[in-house]
Amino acid sequence: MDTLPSGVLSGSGDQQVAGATGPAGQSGATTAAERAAILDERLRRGYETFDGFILGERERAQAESNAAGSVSIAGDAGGGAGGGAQNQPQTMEEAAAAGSSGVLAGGPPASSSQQNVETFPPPEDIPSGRDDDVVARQLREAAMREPDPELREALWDEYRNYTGIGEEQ
Amino acid sequence: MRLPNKQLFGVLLIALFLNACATHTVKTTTYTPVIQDSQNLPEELLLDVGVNIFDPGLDEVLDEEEETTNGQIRVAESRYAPYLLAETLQRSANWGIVRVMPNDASPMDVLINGTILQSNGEAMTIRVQVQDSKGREWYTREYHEVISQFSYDPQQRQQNDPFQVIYNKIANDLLAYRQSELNSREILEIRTVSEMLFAQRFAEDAFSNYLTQDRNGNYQLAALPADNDPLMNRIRNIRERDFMFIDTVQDYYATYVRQMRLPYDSWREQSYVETIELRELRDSARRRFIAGTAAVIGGLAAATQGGTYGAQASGVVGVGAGAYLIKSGFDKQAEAQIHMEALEELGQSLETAVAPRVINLDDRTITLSGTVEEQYTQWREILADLYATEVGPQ
Repeated sequence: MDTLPSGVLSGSGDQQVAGATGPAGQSGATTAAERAAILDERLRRGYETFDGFILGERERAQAESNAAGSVSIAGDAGGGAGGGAQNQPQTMEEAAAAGSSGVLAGGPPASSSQQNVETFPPPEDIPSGRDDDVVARQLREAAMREPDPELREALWDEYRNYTGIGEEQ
Repeated sequence: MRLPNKQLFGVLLIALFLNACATHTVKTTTYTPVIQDSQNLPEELLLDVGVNIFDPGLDEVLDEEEETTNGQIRVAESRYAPYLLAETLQRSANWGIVRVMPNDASPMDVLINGTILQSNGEAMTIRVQVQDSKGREWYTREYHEVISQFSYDPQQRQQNDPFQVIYNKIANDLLAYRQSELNSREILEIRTVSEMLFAQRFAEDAFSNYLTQDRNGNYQLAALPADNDPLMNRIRNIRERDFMFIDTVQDYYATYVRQMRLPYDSWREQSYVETIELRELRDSARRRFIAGTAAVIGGLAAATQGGTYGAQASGVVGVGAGAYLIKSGFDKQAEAQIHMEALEELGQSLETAVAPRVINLDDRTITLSGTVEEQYTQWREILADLYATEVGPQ
């Protein structure tokens, strides 16, 4: 498997923590708070890359699962390797290179490639979603993929109604 | 000594009776539904459940099933059954998230291990061991179900797996244990220990003092981080991503289960018929050997020691009948061998269909785990830097 490039998490390799090992640039040592902020930024960028990678991989896996479901229903009980190299998860490097699958990636997909799906971050009041059931998860994913802001907000409203977020507040 | 005619008839009758005896197998005819907790627990009291890939149980196959048990199919089942169990638990709505675990790195509140002890289409036996994140073992139980042909009815199959009852019973026992053995405080403690174990995985130095282990090796909470502990908040962010990774693996399993379902069900249904035939033929052969031997012994005794001509004649008849029974026992054994070979062929056919899918599933899971783990290593380094920065030199 490919190894991860250095700096994937930081978003760019030249944004390493300058003050981490000593004086930084022209103004001498960074303060602890500044250094923590830089490290937090590296984490945040890492999350973005990770989210984009995982969402892309999930979309692929769900598409395969749906295809397998329709094949099963159609009654194809045949064998076959079912997979191979084309089913392998992409590496984080590939995900980072794909760019448009990143959560915060801006602009429309550059090509008609089916793998390049733009996603949009959830509004601030939306929780992590780790306890989502299947319906909530589908609503969440639909909302994160919806490019039209109005439709997207409508989907988030639907998500709020379904999960009862509005009622709690 | 001479045997009276009554005793001779008795021996022959016993021989015939033995031959006529048939074994009976109790099959499940009632459907045990999944019980839903009557209490509506708040979200923070729902325990997350991890289901490990099952042990195929190949070391524990019974001698008489060794020839008909296909190792590759068992391995395939050891990835199929946990997914069905996880789905059943999730559907019960008695738990938080329920997932098949890609590895043992991510701590879950409740962890289920299973071993498949038997699976031949007619019967399934699974041993289940349950423990929580504190390390306390809840219980180890065996679940055994023998199903009827009705379970393979297409309409039934649309709704449930033929052995759905076994998963329902496991789910119901799990709920019963939680209801009877855990109060809210203990549930919260288990959940906090899971979180602390996860935190230790990413920032061991920072979180090493929050947990202690008692003499049984069970974890106890020694302290808690502050509500607004910045490092803990970062760990929670990472944990959300770890759940996303585990969710992705669920999608792999969903694909696998869907791909395997039709050929696997077809194999189980045919195996069901062959297994019953095989057992009945083996039982019949055994009964014929016993009855035939008894008839021969009784007949010989009568023929040599019978007091009357009639007794001696019936002794000879008894020997002949016994010899016939023994011969027919060998015939049944030969028939049984044909069914055994049929079972082996069925197994090889399914093996060809599912073995590549198992390899593909494992391969993808391992590849994704490796990719994710590389990210985690980098996050660990950043968290260590952050900890050093925020705590300062000791």
